[in-house]
Amino acid sequence: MSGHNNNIQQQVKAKIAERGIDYKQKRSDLASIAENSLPAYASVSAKARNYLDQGVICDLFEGAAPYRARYILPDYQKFLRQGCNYLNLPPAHDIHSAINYLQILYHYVPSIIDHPVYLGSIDELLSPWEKSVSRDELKRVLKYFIMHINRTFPSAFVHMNLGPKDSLTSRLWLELEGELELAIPNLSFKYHRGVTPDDLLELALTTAMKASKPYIVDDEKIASMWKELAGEGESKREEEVEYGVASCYNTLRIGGGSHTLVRLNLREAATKSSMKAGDITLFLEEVVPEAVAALAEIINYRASFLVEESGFFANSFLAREGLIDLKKFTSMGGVVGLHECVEILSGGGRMGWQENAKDRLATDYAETIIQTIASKLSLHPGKYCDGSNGKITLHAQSGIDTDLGTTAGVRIQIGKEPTLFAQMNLAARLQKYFTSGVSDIYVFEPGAKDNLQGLASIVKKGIDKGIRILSINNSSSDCVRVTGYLVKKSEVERYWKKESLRDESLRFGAPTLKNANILGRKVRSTKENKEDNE
Amino acid sequence: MSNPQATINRILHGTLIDGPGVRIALFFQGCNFKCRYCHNPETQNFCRACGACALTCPTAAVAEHGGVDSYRAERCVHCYQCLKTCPHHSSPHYRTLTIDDLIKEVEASRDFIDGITFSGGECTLQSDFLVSAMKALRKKFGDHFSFYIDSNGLIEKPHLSLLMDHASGFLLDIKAMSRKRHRFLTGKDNKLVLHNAVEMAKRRLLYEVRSVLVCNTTAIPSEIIASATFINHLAKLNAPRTLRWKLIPFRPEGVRDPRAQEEMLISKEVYDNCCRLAKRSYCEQNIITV
Ligand code: SF4
Ligand code: SF4
Repeated sequence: MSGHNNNIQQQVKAKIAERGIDYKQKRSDLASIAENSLPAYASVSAKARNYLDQGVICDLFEGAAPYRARYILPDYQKFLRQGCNYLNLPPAHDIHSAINYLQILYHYVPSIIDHPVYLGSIDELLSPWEKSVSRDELKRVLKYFIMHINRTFPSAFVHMNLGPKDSLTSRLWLELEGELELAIPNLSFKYHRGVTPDDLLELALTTAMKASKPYIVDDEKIASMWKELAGEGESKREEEVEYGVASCYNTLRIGGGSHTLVRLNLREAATKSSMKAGDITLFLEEVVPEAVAALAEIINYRASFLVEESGFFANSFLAREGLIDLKKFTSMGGVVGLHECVEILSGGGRMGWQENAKDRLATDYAETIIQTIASKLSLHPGKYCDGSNGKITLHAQSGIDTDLGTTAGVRIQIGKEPTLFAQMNLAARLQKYFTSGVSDIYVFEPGAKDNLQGLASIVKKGIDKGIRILSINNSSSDCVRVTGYLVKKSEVERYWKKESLRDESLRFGAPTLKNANILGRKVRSTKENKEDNE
Repeated sequence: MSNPQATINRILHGTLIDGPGVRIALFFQGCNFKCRYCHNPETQNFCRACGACALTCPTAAVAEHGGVDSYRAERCVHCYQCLKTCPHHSSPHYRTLTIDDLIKEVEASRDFIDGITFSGGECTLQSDFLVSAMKALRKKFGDHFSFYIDSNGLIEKPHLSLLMDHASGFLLDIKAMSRKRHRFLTGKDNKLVLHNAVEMAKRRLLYEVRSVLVCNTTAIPSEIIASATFINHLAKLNAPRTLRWKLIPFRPEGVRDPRAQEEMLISKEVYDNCCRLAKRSYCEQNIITV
């Protein structure tokens, strides 16, 4: 035991003396050391522990004793409508009070990174008052709002939503994001055919070609997926089931969120169980069910700890005042490394490609594996998952900085992308299985900015095919999508020079940029790119 | 009916910079210009089976003196050594494509595209194929797709009029306004190019005119102003269809001669000045810069 204590003391000392991170980051890291000093997973089965030890299942170093839900999506609309006792705030009555109150509440929203990972659908929150000030003034207040978020929540997982309806707030927000080119906040634009006007989508894409955000989200299908899932459980629904996009493309219920995210590394699953080409049946019938059972066990352990041991929901004013509701929560089971898993099982086939029999096999395996995981996961009851009818929801996890050789979620490995349309076809096949978030990235050359109709067409046709969430990026932007979040290339350079920087995500982003060859993503439609020859 | 074939350097599924919307671009082999700044010199000529590339190919994907006809794609590792070696500005990679092949290509991407663009090389050198292809594609897919032709404008009259009957639009390179500079850059006169530009505009078929800005040649005020004047004239004929004018700074990628690369390069400042001048002389909204 004293050895354990010594070890902790050493970690604490090292953390206190660490250079290049600021006081707040230190404090948060110190808290993690304390949390992780507790014995972890005391009551999970030996099998599940073994998966954790082997790295087949990964708890994302979230801490062994969760005392706040990992993803919280407060009902900000309700907050502005009813005010807040705990914070002694009346209902908002104009644009200034609304923004001010939101800024206050943001500081009280717990998460795993000490900053709120969901900031609300800003146009819905503010548009009731947008007409009461001039356009110029609205733009000015929104600009200061963005600056406030950017400077006080220095993490690219802090996520704002826009759309699908038209509003001046949305338009100005998009304009500003294009002008400011900031990595923070992360931004999602909910697109809904027939509701979102074409020129608003084009404005969102203009911003995306400048700032690598927003992501485009298929509002129609994600909303109905959640409504269906949540509706199954609630016989008489009093409130609308609404979703928001938080953190790294986690689509979760507003007023709810996710207790935890534990992920299954499919590459490790295939490697550790010594799978070979052709072992697909064995993989689907033995490896997947066992690993998924262990995944569910660990997820449920964590959710139970959070709810029962830490008493988070009993203790939180957010819950007390109805801004979050345990009944709207879920837990997420994540997957990563599908690309490598399929490569192993097909004997070198490249998922997404259609060039030879092996490639086609790999592409089919990819869908079969995800389909099997989704159906196996649904067999395990999720503890405290009332928000998703007692089910653990599937999420394609975007990867973390230590993922060497494991591709994010169900994406294609960087450098191995097939043609644009082949990639879109694959994404369309896979994304429909992910209730709580999935994403794909398409990098275009700068000239595409002058063809908004073309970019919009990519989005619309992709969505028609079944793509749920996609990012349109410009190969020459300073802002780069790392996995789901953004960093600025210019700041990454400063990070490596060990300058102390505000953006906490650089600690993950800078190494990932290097390790995962992020800048090597295939650029679409470049004539000089002779690799496109097929 | 004869079964026309095209000689294709490559096919790109999903381009956003070769006409409006999302397109398939077909790059034809063979060109009637020899531009100093050509980025794809390997598309200029047809293979003479001289055997030079076979000697440098690391995987023997081309047989000695076999040239393009002996190329085996399954062996190729895409190192592009052959393109650097070829003394004839050609490539062992191009292939023939029938109308049926083309229909298959379009079929594979039909859910995603708005149209097809024929580019090059100089695609209009294979006008017979283009006309047959547009007819066949229209017959097969109706008016679902638009057909654009990306050309240097050096097209003989009978070909041009047939192409204009079938194409939805043209992307036209005007390499230089002055005849002397045009000759210097391309080896050819520009009289027919400028004449054809007017013909296309009269039929309201111009989608985009492009100028490549080369140091001391086209990146000079007199060229920009002459271009603007001419494009203004074209735009009036082309109306109500808008005419985009794209200004591209010379880029060294792919250009063979390193000295030429250096001599042609322009600074960001020169480029910005040219763009500013262009915007003063032509409808700013329709000017595309990089
Ligand atoms: S690119 Fe050319 S040189 Fe390289 S392997 Fe292919 S044919 Fe040979
Ligand atoms: S591609 Fe060029 S180098 Fe190779 S055989 Fe043909 S002409 Fe000769």
